[in-house]
Amino acid sequence: MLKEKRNLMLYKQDFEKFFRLLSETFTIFGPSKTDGSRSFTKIDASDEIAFDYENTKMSLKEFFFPQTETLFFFDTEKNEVKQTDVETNKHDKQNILFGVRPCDAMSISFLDKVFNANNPQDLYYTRRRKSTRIVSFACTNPASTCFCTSVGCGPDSETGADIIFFELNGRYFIKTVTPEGEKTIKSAEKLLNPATKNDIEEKVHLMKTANSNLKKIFDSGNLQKKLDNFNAPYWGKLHRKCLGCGICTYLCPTCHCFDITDEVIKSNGRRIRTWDSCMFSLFTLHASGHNPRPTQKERMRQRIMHKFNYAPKYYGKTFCVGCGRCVIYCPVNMDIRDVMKEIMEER
Amino acid sequence: MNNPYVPMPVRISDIITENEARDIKTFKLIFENKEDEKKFSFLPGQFAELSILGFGECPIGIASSPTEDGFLLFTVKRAGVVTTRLHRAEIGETIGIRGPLGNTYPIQDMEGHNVLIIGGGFAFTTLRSTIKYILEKRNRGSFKDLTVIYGARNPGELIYKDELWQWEKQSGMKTYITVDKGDKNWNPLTLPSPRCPPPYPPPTSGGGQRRGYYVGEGLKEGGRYEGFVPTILKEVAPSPKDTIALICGPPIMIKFTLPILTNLGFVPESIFLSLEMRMKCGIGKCGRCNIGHKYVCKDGPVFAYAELQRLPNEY
Amino acid sequence: MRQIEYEIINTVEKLFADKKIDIFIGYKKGTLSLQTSPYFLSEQDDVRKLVWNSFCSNNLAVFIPRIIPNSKSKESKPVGILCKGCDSRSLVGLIKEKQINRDNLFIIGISCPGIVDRRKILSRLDGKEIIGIDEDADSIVVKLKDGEKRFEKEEYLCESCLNCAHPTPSIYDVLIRGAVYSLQAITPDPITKDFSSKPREERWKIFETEVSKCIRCYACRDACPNCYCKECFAEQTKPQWLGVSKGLSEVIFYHIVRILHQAGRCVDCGACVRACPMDINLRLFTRVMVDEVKERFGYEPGISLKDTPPLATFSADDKQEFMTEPE
Ligand SMILES: Cc1cc2nc3c(=O)[nH]c(=O)nc-3n(C[C@H](O)[C@H](O)[C@H](O)COP(=O)(O)OP(=O)(O)OC[C@H]3O[C@@H](n4cnc5c(N)ncnc54)[C@H](O)[C@@H]3O)c2cc1C
Ligand code: SF4
Ligand code: SF4
Ligand code: SF4
Ligand code: SF4
Ligand code: SF4
Ligand code: FES
Repeated sequence: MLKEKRNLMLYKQDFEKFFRLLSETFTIFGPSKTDGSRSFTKIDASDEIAFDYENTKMSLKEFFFPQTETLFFFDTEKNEVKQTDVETNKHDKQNILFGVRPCDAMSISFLDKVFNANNPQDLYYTRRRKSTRIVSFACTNPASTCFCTSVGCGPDSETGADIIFFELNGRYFIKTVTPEGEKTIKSAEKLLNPATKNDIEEKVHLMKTANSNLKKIFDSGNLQKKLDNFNAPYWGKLHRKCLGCGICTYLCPTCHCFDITDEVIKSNGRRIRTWDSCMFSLFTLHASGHNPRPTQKERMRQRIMHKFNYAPKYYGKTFCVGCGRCVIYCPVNMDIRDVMKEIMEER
Repeated sequence: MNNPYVPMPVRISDIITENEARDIKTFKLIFENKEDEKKFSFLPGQFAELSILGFGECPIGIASSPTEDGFLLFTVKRAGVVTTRLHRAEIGETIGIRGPLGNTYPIQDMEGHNVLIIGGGFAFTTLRSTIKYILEKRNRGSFKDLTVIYGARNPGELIYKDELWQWEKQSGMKTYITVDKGDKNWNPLTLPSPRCPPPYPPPTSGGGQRRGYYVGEGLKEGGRYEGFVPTILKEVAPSPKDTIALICGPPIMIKFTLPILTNLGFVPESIFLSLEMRMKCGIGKCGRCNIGHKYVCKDGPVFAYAELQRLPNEY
Repeated sequence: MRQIEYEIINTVEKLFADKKIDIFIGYKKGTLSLQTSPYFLSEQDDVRKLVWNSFCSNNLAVFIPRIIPNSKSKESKPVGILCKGCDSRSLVGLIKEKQINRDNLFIIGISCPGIVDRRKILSRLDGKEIIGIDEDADSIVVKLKDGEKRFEKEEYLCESCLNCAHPTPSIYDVLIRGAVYSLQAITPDPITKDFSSKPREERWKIFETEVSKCIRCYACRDACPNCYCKECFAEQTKPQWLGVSKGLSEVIFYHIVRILHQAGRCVDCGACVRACPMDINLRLFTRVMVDEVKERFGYEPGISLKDTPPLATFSADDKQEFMTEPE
């Protein structure tokens, strides 16, 4: 860990230069104006970045854990596995994910626990993770669907980020969070000045306002206890309007379930992993026809329980960062905040 | 570094059809690469993902014992895509294997104690591994009495028949074999089996004509029965004192077996079950196989009943 | 609007009081502005939470096959449901396809002034936060921190509502009459007509561009009352029809089959479009099917319980030029 996190300042008029200097060593990805900040895309010029976006539709996980990933190619005629080159990352250029929201940055720290931890390590994920720096952007204007502060995240959370930016009047306040973050800005050092007391005060004030705009809806610690009641009566009702479409899990930055299947054309095949979701009816269906989660009731329970009860027990973290994507995009307005409130109210 | 998703090549060196319905086959596999074989060190209870390129993978319990050198056994029931393709495989074909995966039966905890093994149907696989392991000369001394109760729907559905007949005769263990419904050959104990050509071996004890029904005298030293596993268990179970019970079988068998063990005085800490959930990755990442906060592929498939009681009843 | 809401509430209250139903499916206020949420209520729930407004967008018929297992099941009491024109057309389809039994339903029909497309409004707000919504007969007033914005409903209705020929339910037990959106419905739909008139390559390009955004969540399928299959072709493994990747060819395959499975069945309710998180204009393609079926067979699904769906019948004088060898 970094002994001393540095607070630096960058004038907005220098940002273009800053961006160019960084892009000499790094490929830069960010929320781009051109695709309406649908997802993180490659940014070629600093003015393509959409700074004022609320949250990309597709979460950051796509970048490290794409919806479709080839595990390896094979030849069915020769009956041979052709190894992929995941073991080496020498081909990779270093990347920067620029303008990441603090909730998404934190979600990556959770995915690290699943894929990056050595139990065993998932080389596909790790490889991208190793070659990527995360530069997050504190939220000064959180959306009405954000509830990060209820789940241990926040508009200025640093977890998962290498560097965090705060947008002050006419300049950026830059805080280096990790040694990697320090290295990242090395080449642009000459554009940066140490932050003054005034700068720090302005930043603190800014984040105070942002924080006060976020209502704390529930206490996730308490919630975990509450959820220990697996057979609570609310499970019989909550799910009824759920369509089982899985949007809430596909768009969720912390959901990481996947399927493994083979695809073959003639004798060329590949084994792929693709996103999957506990909200789908086939997710747990045995070949025998037995299904431990036969109805949407059990599936809804799994989703909520996994995020707020199982994951805290297993990984020590609530697997929700309060980004609000599931709230915005659920076709039946299944609002996870409401679900939580309902659960907390039940005695 | 090892890529946990890439299977190692293994050659099918033998295929044995286990049952009359011909939908259960045992595959004997030999590693193509010696290094892979060395890395593949396992204990009874673990499983592996068998892979057929173009078809996919499926988790199958390791039926051979680590004490059996040079090969692995997997007994597979034909069910869906991969297992059906596997059943069409021929001797000499190369398939893939990933593993060993999951935890093991509590071998260390079992040492110095009696072991009761309860199996049903084709789920007997990892229990066979355990029995073999215990019976191995250099291991046998570490365990006390070994009791095996194994049941299938009918005599034709019993797997590992020639070994069963062998175990019936073997000293130092008690073997109770039961079928839901016998056929005309079940008494007196003749059984058509592709692995076991006639003349069929005589029963363990009590002379050639002993009828193997579960009611009656003198059943305490093994034999053949007609009836459900839980019923037989009630009759023949060893004392719970100093005994560890391992169970693997269809859900319905497990459901009725547990209360009987409990009534007999087995504490939940001394009962171990091997569970099945739909699986993909086998390494605790794909999120598919959890029961509560435990992943069956990684934290299981073997669970102490005591632990299961603390988990949601969702399997 | 308020008036109609009261009428709905009173009717439902009476249904519960008279023990006619045990469960009712309607709408309640959503947690987001411009949205409502399906509301399942039983007698002990608060019937006053039922709402009726321009954002009652879900097609509630989708829940019926999930609650009532099959057409043979004899429910002790019918399930109460609030139906717009399109919801009722979906129910007609489900009854005709023998998925449910008419006797198991108690339908409160409501003549529909059209549903406002929240995305159209949202796209005009530059991401500004909505503080409140007001609605009158012709317009939606959106209150923002720095003032308010008025939207004429006529311009902001969902595409399918803009060209809806049957805003009044085709079947019901009780009908609540309200304002009906009065634009003349046109067949073929102007938007899809424009699409159909384009050269083949261009149409394909549009199709490809649209569906390439798809993330295969299948919300379009799950939101559609017609998609009640227990085992969808998209997920079958024996045989497997298509792979599960996000590759373009797989996505195209999924969409073509889904669209074709809607031929003669799609009631143009727009539920699939509204459910899609990627804003894919699915209606462009399903509506082409609707118009095609109407033109060829003079058939509109969901209007009558009696007529036979064209794909379930054969007539010697059916147009069959498509059966000729390809050129
Ligand atoms: C720990 C463990 C040990 C097992 N041991 C054996 C054994 O020794 N012998 C045996 O015959 N069967 C065993 N099974 C069950 C076996 O895995 C399934 O029958 C098999 O996966 C079916 O695969 P399929 O491709 O033929 O079926 P499909 O229905 O085509 O299934 C597709 C995929 O779903 C998964 N899947 C489906 N059903 C199951 C299931 N019941 N359990 C786990 N994954 C499933 C697999 O990944 C499979 O490839 C075991 C299962 C587990 C979890
Ligand atoms: S997005 Fe909504 S409807 Fe779809 S699965 Fe999630 S909760 Fe259910
Ligand atoms: S559960 Fe919803 S709010 Fe929480 S991280 Fe996932 S998408 Fe965001
Ligand atoms: S189990 Fe469900 S909630 Fe948990 S990660 Fe998987 S898809 Fe998300
Ligand atoms: S395909 Fe779409 S528009 Fe047609 S009935 Fe289904 S949900 Fe409605
Ligand atoms: S709802 Fe949209 S993204 Fe989801 S499968 Fe349908 S078209 Fe694709
Ligand atoms: S099989 Fe993937 S988590 Fe268990």
